Amino acid sequence: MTDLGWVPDGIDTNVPNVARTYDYLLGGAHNLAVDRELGDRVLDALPGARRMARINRSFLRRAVTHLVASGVDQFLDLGSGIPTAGNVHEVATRARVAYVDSEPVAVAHARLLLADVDRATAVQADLRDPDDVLSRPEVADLLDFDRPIGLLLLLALHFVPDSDDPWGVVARYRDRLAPGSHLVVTHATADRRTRAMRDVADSTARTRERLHYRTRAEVTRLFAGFDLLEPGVTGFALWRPEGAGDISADADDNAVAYAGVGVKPTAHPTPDHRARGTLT
Amino acid sequence: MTAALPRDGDAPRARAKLAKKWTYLLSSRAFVPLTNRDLERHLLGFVERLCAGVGGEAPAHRVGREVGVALVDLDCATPDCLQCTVEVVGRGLLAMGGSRERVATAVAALAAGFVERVRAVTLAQQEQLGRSLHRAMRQAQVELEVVRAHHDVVEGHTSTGIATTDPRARVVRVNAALGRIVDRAPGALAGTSLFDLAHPAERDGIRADYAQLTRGGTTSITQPRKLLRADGETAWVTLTLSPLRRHEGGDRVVVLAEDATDVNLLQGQLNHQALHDVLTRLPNRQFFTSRLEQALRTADPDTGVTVFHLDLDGFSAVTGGLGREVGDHLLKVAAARLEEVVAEESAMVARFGFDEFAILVENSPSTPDVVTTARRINDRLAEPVDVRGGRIACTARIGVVHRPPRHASPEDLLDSAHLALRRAKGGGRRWELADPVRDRLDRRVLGLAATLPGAWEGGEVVVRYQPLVALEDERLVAAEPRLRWDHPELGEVPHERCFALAEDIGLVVPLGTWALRAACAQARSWRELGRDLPVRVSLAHAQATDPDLVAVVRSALADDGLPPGSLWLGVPADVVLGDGEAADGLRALADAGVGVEADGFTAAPADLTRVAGSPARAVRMSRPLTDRPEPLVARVLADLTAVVREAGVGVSVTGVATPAQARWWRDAGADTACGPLYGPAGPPEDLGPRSNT
Repeated sequence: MTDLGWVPDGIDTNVPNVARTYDYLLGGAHNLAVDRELGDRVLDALPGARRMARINRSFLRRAVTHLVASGVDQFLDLGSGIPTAGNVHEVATRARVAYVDSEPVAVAHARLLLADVDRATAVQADLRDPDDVLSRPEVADLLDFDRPIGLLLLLALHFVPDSDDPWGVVARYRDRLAPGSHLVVTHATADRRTRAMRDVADSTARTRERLHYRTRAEVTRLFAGFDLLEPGVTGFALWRPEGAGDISADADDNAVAYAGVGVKPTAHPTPDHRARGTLT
Repeated sequence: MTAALPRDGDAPRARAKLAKKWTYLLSSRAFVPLTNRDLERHLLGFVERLCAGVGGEAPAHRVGREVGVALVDLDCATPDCLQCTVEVVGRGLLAMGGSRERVATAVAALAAGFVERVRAVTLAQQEQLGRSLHRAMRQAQVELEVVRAHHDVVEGHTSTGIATTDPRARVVRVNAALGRIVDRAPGALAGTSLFDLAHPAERDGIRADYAQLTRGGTTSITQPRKLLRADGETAWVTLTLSPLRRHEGGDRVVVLAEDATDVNLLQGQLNHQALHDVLTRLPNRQFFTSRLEQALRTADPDTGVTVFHLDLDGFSAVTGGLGREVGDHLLKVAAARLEEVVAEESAMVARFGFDEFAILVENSPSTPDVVTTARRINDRLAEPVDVRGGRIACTARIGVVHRPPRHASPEDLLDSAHLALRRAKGGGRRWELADPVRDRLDRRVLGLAATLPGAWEGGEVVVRYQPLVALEDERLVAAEPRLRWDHPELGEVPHERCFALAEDIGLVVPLGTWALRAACAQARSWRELGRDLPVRVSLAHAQATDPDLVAVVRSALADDGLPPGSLWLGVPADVVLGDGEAADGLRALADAGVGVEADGFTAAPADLTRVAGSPARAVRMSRPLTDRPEPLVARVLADLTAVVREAGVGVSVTGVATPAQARWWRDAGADTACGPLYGPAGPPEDLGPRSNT
């Protein structure tokens, strides 16, 4: 970050904030009037926004539950926002969880919510700088990088512009993860409801975060070096839904964001090897 | 009111059906962090409690309230959730046979509990958010304070000049280092324009840099630039301009100026060493000079400054005799004592060289006069110092420059002090005031001395010979070499002056050795012509005490094949009559047959008693004499000569100018004489004919 201002914008209560707006859409009260105004504008452009926030949260629950069942007991949640009810440490009730966000109020809030939770921590850092994130004592002391880790990037990478190379960022985290680690991604797209999504992007322009929608192929590329689990990269509601609340009756609602879960293979072959198939 | 809810086998199925429907509706309206099965299990529990309430087994209003609260705690807290709950639960309970009144009570209580809980949760969350904002703000402030403190430390202590300006180059903030670089008070720089601080030739360039930055340039610009110092001098710097974008209050430009002219940090650390004497930790000559320059400018004109230049007497004897360690100790003691003497004054004590010190006093009305200060210096130095094996005392000669004019140059001033010091030494006085007239004279002599080596090498210095005769019959008994410098401008510089100049510049021994060898070579030439004429060479003090003297004499004799008797040496009386190593060496030469004579014999009682045991075979008196000496003087001299001769030692006299003087000395018992009466020093061939007679 090359912010030369002294007071972080996140503390400026006149500027809406993505994490708090998301909380508003989820029905929480961890938000300010400016955040609710922004949330209402998003709702104008995308009337199903509350549903979509809920769907993302449901996906989180399903994905984390799956990872726990696969033996993952530590999580690095990048761009975690405000870890309100149903967040990772509540779903994975015995796992260690490091929440990372660049937004000071979200982190201060997370620390408040996690005050009594030993196995979870919140760090203010920029997810685009893996070396910094991974060298933070809170992260390095809590997580064991020699064992599988669940790396969560939920509705986070669409705030990273192409110029910051989100694929390279993910690859640098991947290189530090032990085999058996999982990558979990949800990422907004304008492949459907293109106009409405543009309106949403315009309405969020006042925040410091700009939305960068990506296509399914672009989202799939984030999983380079991971083996994608079934059903691959798909609409976020369509990833292994379990019940009525996981999915919307409106097909477009189910696909405003892509979701995918990949696992880092034991001996990770290069894409070339895999392309040639069964050489081993 | 009395109708009980169904208790038959259908009842559990009906309740499960209600729970399932309720689960479906809630999960599609709110995010519930539970699987549907878990949610359904919770809701079934609620249904059973509500049935109990409606059935009269529990107060309907209490059960309803509890379920409303529990719903919110499951995160089913949206208006949608309440709406679908009232609808599905109300209808379900009625369908199961609950009385309208009890169902209405339970559902109304549920809505009230729900709202109450939502309100409490909302307030709690808002409270949490407020605390989070506060914490984040405080954290930011703490970080800001740390950054500011760090910034202040860096800015205050770096040698790099740092300024912050607005986009129009007006200085907003500046550090001390930049003030030093441009020689201005930092406070005076705020509000000025950086363009005005720039050298006129650089202003357009810096303006262009600012234009680039204010057009939105994001990268820093680094250039070698010239700034203007307050004293009009140029300060060479490496100037880096960096944009500082701000959300409020306008953009800024951060200016870094690395001094390329002044000493950098490392040099600053070395500065002390470069300006101080390592042994005594006193300032050195360089530091003293710059302080003097400053003091001359800033001193109160009514009182001025005084410079004392000191030389410790006989210090080389201390280090030579007692060792360097004692010498170092003595120098440290002297340094401390000098500082004590002027402790009350605004003064600097410096060490100039081996045994030389200087004191600069910026006088005030209460400063003691020069006489008092000079006396105090010597009194303090004279207090004995305990050293290994005894106590020694120090004395000093002092040259003083008192209240020089403000425009005097420090160099001239120190020269004057040095010349006054030399005069104090030469005149045997403790201290001497600088005297411009004497200074000029001394300077000319010193200038002459400085050119002597070149003149000598260039053949301007020649050896002449003057006759030494027997008073008895005026027979030529020896030739005395005399140096003469044929100076192209000043004419002839006589022998004594040549040696005096040589003494000033430490050239005595080489020059004297050269004269000795020249005389020996001349003696050989005469011998080759069949004339056996000894040469009598007067040695300067330094030459006589030179440890190499014996070797030099032996090799001169050997090189020219001279018998020792052909060389007579005139040696200063205090050396030849003393008991040092030099006297031993002379004794060895005398034993070998070289003629050793004591020059400058004073006839002091101590000298008289030592003559007999000394290697000298003759003494030379240079007492000036009138044609008719006072009877008392004549008698003393005659008695003296008799005493010397009784000891078996000959007597020689110099400066004989008239036949009357010659007669007088002959009657008094002197043996040989030289002087104007017998002819001036001339080329060697002049002495040939007379030796034949």
